[in-house]
Amino acid sequence: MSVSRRNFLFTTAAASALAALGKPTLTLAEEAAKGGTKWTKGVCRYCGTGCGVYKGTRDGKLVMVKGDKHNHNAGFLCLKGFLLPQILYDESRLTKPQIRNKKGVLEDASWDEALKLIVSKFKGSVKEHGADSVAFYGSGQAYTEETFLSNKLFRAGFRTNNVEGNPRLCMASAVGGYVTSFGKDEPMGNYEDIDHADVFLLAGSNTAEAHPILFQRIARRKQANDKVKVIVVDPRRTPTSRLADLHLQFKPGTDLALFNSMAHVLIKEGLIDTKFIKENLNFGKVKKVDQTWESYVAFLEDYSPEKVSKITDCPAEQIVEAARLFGAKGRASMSMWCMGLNQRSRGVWANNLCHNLHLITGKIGTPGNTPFSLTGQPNACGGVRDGGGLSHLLPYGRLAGKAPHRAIIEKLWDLEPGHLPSAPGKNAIDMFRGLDEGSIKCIYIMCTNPGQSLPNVTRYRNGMKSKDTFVVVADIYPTRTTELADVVLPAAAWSEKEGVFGCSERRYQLDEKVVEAPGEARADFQILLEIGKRAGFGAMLPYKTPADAWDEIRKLGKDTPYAFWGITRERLHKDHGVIWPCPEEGHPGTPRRYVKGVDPLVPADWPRRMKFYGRSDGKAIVWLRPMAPPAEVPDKEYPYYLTTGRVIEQWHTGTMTQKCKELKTANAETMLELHPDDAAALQVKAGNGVRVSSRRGSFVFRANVTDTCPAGTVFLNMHDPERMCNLVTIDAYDPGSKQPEFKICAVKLEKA
Amino acid sequence: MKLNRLGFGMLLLVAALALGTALAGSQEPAKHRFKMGKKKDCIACHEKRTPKVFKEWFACDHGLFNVKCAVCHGSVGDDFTLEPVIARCTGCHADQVASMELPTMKGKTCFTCHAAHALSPHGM
Ligand code: SF4
Repeated sequence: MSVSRRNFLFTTAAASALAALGKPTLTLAEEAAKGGTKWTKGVCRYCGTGCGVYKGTRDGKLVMVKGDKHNHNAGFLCLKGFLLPQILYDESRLTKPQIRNKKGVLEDASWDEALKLIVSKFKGSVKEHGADSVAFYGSGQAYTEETFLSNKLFRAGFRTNNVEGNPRLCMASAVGGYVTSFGKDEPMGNYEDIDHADVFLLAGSNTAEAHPILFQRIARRKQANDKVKVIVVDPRRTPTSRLADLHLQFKPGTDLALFNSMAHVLIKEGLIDTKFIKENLNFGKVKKVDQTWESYVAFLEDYSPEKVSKITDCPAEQIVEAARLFGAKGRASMSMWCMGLNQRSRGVWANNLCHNLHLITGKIGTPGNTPFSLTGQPNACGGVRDGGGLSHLLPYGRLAGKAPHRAIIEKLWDLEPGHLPSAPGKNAIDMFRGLDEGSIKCIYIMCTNPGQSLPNVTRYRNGMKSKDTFVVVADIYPTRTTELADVVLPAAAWSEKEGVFGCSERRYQLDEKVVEAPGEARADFQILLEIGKRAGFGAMLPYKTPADAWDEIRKLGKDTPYAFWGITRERLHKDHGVIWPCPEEGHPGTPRRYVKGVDPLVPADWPRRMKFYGRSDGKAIVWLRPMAPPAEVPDKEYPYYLTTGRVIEQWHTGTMTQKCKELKTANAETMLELHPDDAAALQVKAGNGVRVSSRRGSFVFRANVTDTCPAGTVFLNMHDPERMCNLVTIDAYDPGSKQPEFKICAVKLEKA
Repeated sequence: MKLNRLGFGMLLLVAALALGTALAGSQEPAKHRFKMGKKKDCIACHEKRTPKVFKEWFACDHGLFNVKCAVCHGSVGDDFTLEPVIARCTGCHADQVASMELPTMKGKTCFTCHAAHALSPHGM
């Protein structure tokens, strides 16, 4: 189709005119293009890739977003990123506090009324039922300063460890994997490793849709060098598989056997680094580090490709080929994984087994050689994982259950010794079970939507809805959670407030405020601060703005493996993000952790090329983790596997993406992906309703007949607020990470 | 920006005229032909209905990177444009869009050189 100059101009003129009428969307871009736009640096609101953006404002409105060419994303954005301005301007924005009245209806209230009620309920509950009767449930989408403040308010103020966040639902197993294998959380590599890798192992990650700009970088690497190979490990064929030289499609939940089998082949074929193994590794089983290389090799005897092929339904030759590609000498291998490994009842084990492949081959710590977990939210890493926003953590790698760690934080926060609570807090699922069972009376939910995003959600919706619980939700739009709340607080959105985001590669960057919040909406930082003051904790919260808290946050990380003292507020304003460790002002940041000569925390006289300083002897651990089935496997009554995931157009529970004109109609309905053989057996045609039922719940979805999943496995995405896959999913969780198994459960199907 | 009634009326007129002219100047309708009550992926229909366009898009980088229809064409509502407005390219190609102001670019659009949908790079 050719476009004449004349048509082009006319289209533009029409668009401009519509924009002036306050009509739509593309024309915000059009407005920006007219000039006079002010551009301010920031970060994308959506995924953990953390793309740098420039925000274009005119006349007090955010009119456009463009990629930051000086940041890691080199100026590119995915389709969600480009459409970001629209998430601020839907007419359904919450602009006034609301309190549920006696008739059960939410009605407008003043801030004073809402805050008074919250403080009296929370304080009353602490007095009557003890501190652990209240809870905070935060988000990997909150800024670091907001998570920090909630942590201090609830742990030091209300004195409970019931401080939790939604990263429990997405990243806890990755945390568990890094901590158990290397001693400390967070990936050691960075995005630049993509440009050096010769082999990519993409396991349980639909990178093309969930982390599009990283997928683009992988694709560019492959386009530039035809020797680059991509191995995709996923039961489902996704757009990511387009890049695959080898796609291992396996029976859901059997990848533990598959990774062990790859290790088996690597050892049998001598594709290992004996010197690295000898110098840098210990071996463990269950919880003890009491194994040897020999016992590891013997353990792997059970995992020959032939045997594992029977467990996984994946051809033995493919397992061998994957191992050969990954282990090829002189080539750099980068693994990347996401929810497919994390959202599992053995998620930590799956993570460990992926790390094992790097450790026994020595493919770690040099450019392109790294085990890299991808994060779903923009600040799950920086805010919640690093900042200690999970119930068992304290800031920057400390544990709430360890007295010496509490003592450090007590000192830094100027608290009496013994002030911080020692009783363990509840993980996400137990927290909402507590609400259902009555042990938790009051909960404050910030910037997240558990009424849609928890697995087996009906049970937890009942708990939130109950008359015996008091639920506060701060958000920017009505959601499936605000509909259950007793008090709804209108929050300022991204770009209406400032704060720090830390993405998957340990890059901390500042997201700047560029416009005012609508109506009476307030920034989460200000709301928490006000609650703290009214509850009598003002003296321990001496801040006015997020920037005021930043130096205290930097100090919390000082002299820890997270050191980022060098990332000052001034630097955040100027730079396009800095990757920690960055222990001193002026330090350039650290592209690869644990590496001598690169990581400032490894002593110059350390005798080996890497020091895993999270462990006292500086050695990483190879874990002997056996194959273990998922919590629920198909049987006669529930004969299909259900797996869940994402599409590129939508994000999480759809509360923002479905406010964008372009995305409202694009892949916004959750449909059941059903194999043609299964469709024929059920006599279902494309578009027909299919009732999907598990032991927990049931719902009718329309069928999308496609061979993306093998027969016997069906797929639903997680985004649609009206058609929630979580009515069906299972709330069994990993015993270590406590992360639920969203990825696998058993269902039956009936034509509706 | 505040508009008085007269100004608002003028704008309406300009909008109507501009839209009308855009429609007249194009061989094809500026509106998406079908109402999209059902929330589908554009590709679900276009793979079959416009196979050539789909194939060109799918084979190029935009297809590989999932830069889907809505990015260039807008939604299927009243902001749908058959012929993309180049401001929509700014999200990823800001410098290139800005360069369209250069005198050497007079009379050209992105699509003068980059064939629509295939969007092949220069010289290919
Ligand atoms: S890849 Fe993620 S961070 Fe980057 S633009 Fe897309 S949603 Fe935003």
